Amino acid sequence: MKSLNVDKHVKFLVKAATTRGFEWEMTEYLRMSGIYWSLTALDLLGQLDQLPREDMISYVFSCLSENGGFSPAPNHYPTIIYTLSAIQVLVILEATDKLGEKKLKVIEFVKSLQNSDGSFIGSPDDDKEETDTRFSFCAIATLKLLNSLDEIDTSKTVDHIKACQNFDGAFGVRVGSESHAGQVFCCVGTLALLEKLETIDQELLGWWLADRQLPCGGLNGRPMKKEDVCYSWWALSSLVMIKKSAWIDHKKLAEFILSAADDEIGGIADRPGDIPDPFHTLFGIAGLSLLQYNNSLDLEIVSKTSDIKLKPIDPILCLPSYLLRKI
Amino acid sequence: MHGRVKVKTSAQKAAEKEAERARKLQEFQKIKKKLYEPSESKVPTFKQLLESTNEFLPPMADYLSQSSTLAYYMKDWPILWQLRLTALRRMATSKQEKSLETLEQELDLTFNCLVDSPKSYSTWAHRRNILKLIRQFDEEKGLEILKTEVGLTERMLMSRTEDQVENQGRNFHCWDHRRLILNALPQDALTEIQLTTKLIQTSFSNFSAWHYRSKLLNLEEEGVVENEMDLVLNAVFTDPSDASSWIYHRHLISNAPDSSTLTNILKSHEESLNELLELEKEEDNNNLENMPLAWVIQDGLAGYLNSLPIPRSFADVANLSAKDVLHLTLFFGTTGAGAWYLAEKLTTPHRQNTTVKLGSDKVVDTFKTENIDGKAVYCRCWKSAKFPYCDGAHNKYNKETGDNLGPLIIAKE
Repeated sequence: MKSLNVDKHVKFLVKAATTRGFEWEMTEYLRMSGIYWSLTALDLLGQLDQLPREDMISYVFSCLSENGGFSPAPNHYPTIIYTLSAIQVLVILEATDKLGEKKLKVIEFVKSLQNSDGSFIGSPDDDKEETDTRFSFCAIATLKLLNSLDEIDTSKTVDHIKACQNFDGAFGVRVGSESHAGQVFCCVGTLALLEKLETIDQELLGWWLADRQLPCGGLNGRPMKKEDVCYSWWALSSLVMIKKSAWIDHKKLAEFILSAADDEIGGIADRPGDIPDPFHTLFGIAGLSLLQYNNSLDLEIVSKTSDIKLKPIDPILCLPSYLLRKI
Repeated sequence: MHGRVKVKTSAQKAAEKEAERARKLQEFQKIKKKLYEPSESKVPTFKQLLESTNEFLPPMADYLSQSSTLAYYMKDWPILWQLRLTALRRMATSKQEKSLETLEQELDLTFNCLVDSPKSYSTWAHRRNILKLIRQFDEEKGLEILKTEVGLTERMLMSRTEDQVENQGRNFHCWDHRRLILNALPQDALTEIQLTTKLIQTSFSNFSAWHYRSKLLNLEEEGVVENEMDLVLNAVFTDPSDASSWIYHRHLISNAPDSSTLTNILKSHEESLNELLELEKEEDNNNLENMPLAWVIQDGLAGYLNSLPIPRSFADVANLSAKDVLHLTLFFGTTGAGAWYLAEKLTTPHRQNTTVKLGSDKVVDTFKTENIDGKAVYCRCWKSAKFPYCDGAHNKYNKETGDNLGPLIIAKE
């Protein structure tokens, strides 16, 4: 099995986060999430200090709107997705206290997005039917990180998630939508945070998730789709949350993730031979961390800095576990 | 970020690409300044203009037309669509001339963007917003367009090539869009069932269609399970490498109400699969360890049949060892584990006749035309209780299967 080359990946992540070129411009619409991906990956590799902390914190606050929501970049409109990413960044940088009274506005923003059936829309001006279980997760995770889960009607939230469970045991975007591993992560994560996992059929779900593993070892997102490194997170962490990660072959998955790493410039791609990016780099490393700490995978780590260890990651919130002890 | 293959390029090609990108970048930065990035300029940005008033002003129309080509580069940028939607809503509310035409052009714009990026969340949502806006502006026209929209989604969902499967047949955005549109129209579950039947029978890789079907049908209703078992077994033998049919099959086995009909169906199914297993043994030199199908046949399916009533859930399966689950995983996930052979060797077309003179080797009916009085209507679907004459049974049959059978009519002048 290949080893994880920390230095190369750190170099790739730092370069992606600091180069002000074409890629930077074209990803402005998701920048807050991009920062979260880069910081989490760097922190897992023990290299958080490679990016300027104060600049990141200023950036986050420059994206805070009057209504308490965060936008991906200044002058864009706020949404629940980038609100979660912003809070996650503040948690990683241990700067949530800088919110001060604005924390209440953030909570109000999140609450304002919930419908009467427990589902969530993404931003205040959206039509009520434009719901997505990703938004449910973003809302609940944001409140959890702000220690404010009691501010919301959690039983309706759970009802809506349950209504999204399909014949195959997995979950989709809305009630009636086809099952998809990304949405599964969001639904299972929401239930895990609300401690309501026992309300769904975990056996059937485990089967569907285990089914994601292909002969090459990689995981796909739905039946008959291609393998993709990011599902090493969405599907694997879901299996960990329902305590069925033994249902897939760990070594083969790890080998797949490592084979998608770019030996030349560092970073991890969606599959071997493709161009790497921070998104897949994070989820590949996060997947390896889960495999290492949850499933005792023997991962070889290579770095010029002696004794670098991969940090354990929280399967629900996708943040290094040590941070959550401080919340 | 997905599916971008790393291709080695020459130094010259790399330089050309860099130059092109630099050009695009400059253009982009200029336009951003116009749309929402505040600057020292006295001219307000599109965003500032919209926030400065509740009315529709002529410069907003300019911004709309200037930014429409931008949509191709910014289709995943919610801010672009949000600015356009706000301006278009103002335009429609203030009953500007050519509002309807402009809104229909916006539909065309989103259509072209979706052809380019069929999985863009914000483009699909914007399209729905425009459809709603058209309907608010002109109810009749709006409903007419919605009906066309349903037809559009059906065309998009047909997939005959691998690329079409990836972007169309399995495109959950399109499926969800269809369901959301249908919320505004009179509901017709039957049409939806027929759509799934058509897709299952004519398209590749049908998990999305099977999933939708699972929502539309009630397995407790009479005749449903038998019909579904028929459909799924047909699918399994047509393309055994498609995991979708197997997953639906498993769903039927665990959720169908107990019945002797189901048991008989499963028993005959077990026979076919055992034949397959024999074939695989021959091909693979009795190497069953590598044949995950063996697990299903020997322990799985036989187990289901032996433990009547048929288990309703897989809670029992939770006690499987990890290795067994891996076998099952490989079975469902792998491309049929060589089960392709079975389709060719085992193709047994389904019987058509299940009711008429089953004892005969061949059912033949002969009539002389001179004996026909005016008109005679003969059965061609083999379901008539008055066979060989039609009794309308083809109607029920067509409803159940999405088929289009009809009688033979001999009419004398």
